[in-house]
Amino acid sequence: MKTFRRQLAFHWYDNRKRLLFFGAIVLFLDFWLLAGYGIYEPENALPLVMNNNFAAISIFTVLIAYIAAANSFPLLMGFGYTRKQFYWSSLIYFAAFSTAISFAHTLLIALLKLLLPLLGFNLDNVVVSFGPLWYSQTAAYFLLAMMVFLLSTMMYRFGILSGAGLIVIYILSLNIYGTNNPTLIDAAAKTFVDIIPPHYAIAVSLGIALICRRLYRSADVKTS
Amino acid sequence: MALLNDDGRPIFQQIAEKIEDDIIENRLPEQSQVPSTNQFAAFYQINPATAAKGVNLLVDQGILYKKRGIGMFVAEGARNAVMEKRKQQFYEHYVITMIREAAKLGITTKQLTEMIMKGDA
Amino acid sequence: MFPDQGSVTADDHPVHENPDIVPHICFAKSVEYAWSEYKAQDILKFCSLLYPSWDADFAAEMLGRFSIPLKQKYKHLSRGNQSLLGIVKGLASRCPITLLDEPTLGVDAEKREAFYELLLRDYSEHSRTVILSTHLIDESADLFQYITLLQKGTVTAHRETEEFVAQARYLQGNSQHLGAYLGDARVLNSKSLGSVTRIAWLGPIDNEQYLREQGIEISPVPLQKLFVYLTRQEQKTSEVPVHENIS
Repeated sequence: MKTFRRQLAFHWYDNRKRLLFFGAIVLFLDFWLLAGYGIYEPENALPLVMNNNFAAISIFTVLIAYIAAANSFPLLMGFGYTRKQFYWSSLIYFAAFSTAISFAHTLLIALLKLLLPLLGFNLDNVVVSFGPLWYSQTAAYFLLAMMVFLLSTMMYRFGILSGAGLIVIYILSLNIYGTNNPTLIDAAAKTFVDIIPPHYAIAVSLGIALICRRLYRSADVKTS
Repeated sequence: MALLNDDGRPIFQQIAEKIEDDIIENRLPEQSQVPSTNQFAAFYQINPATAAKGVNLLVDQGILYKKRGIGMFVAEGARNAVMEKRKQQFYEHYVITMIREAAKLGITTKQLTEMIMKGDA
Repeated sequence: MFPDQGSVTADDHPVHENPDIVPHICFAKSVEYAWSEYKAQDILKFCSLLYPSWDADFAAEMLGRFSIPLKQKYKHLSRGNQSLLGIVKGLASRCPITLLDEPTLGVDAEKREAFYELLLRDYSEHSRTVILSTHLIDESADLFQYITLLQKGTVTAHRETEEFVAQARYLQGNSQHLGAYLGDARVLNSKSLGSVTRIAWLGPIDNEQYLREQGIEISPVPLQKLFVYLTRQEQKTSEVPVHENIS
């Protein structure tokens, strides 16, 4: 539908420069890592780069999800879009973003897997399976986006305290899930290893989406 | 409010009168085209609907007529019609007012007549 | 926005969250908090992306007339420029129903005139309904076809501008003569100086000739004064925001 196309065009125009800037930084960091550390531990080179990128992309995902909830929402409401339209276009936006960015990243890793041995890196131990890597990342970023979207929406509507409360719930639920390290990066990093958690991640994302749906139904737009 | 009076008379009426003035002074000869309502609106910075009301008032009185697809034109005999109308209004607006003011100041009819003669000289 | 009470309808269809109606309504505010971090040129790009009927040429013309600096962040723009950007959004959107909320706040007189000219010209060429709220009544009253008065959220009057103008008169003269009228509900205001009284009257005057003969001066009440009187009247619910309704 045209309204989705227009909103997505808006998000694209809004994020163009940020994406460019971010991409440049990531590539620079990767190069620095490879040049600085990769040489000494070639077997770890690729995982090192992957983890770095994963962290960077996660931060970027947090950023755009927050902007969507806290700024793009009132902005689009001011342009005559309904809450329903905003909600659905945001879901599509995050899904498209997660898919695209993880594709780009997976592509990068695959390329490095091909190129680095030519530069003398020994990467025999590293296995890169394109499909699973892409899928698990997409799920991870989408989940992250949805979580931040929910958090930002709660904070926008109900204030900072509600956000803090949500974070507490999150940490507690992680303990139930059984990770030893209650950080998002580690929890989501599991998805790289095991194919099952990505499905789980998506299921949780959809659950969060439902909560957001209720929130957006009656969200006031702040004017100051 | 470029050239209109703030005297409480409806604006559409003032527009009509401006057009009539133009007809009397031959700025708008008979059978010539009158500016469009949008042009009036832009000139006087008023709502087009108000301008249209003024123009239509004159159409109803037979002073202007509409040529479909082209615009408004001054009707044949419009000048005389307007003059007659104005003469009647002249009596009501100017003469009565003058008489009243004269009465307020204690000027007799005779003195008034002398003043008129003097002014006309 | 959510209605607190009552309903807002356009052509009898409920407006709130209605995807068929909402896109046709453009609401331009003089300050948009969500625009703070964006440059004016970005905001205009957003407008072109988000409004299907956006008229870029008209927008460009207005930008030229208003001299809005394009590369400055919205929050760094002067109050007037912020309002003007809102005007550009409202007028170039070409939405059938356009609401401008205090569009001239902080705008200097020259640019206000430019706005009225552009508004009028555009309205003449592309008809739509424009509803505008303003505190500058005398300046802009002639542009309006209808004026709606609101008090405390209720519409208390909705008439053609000319009706208000035609029926608002000052009657000034001998206090004794005018004293008879003072109890009337149509007297909005009265002032006395010595033995002269001036009352503001809203309503038809049938005996104008007679009054003049009695030595009572009848003069028009400027619209802005009229609305001040109406607002101050406790009994008659009257209002200050003036809405222009052109369709």
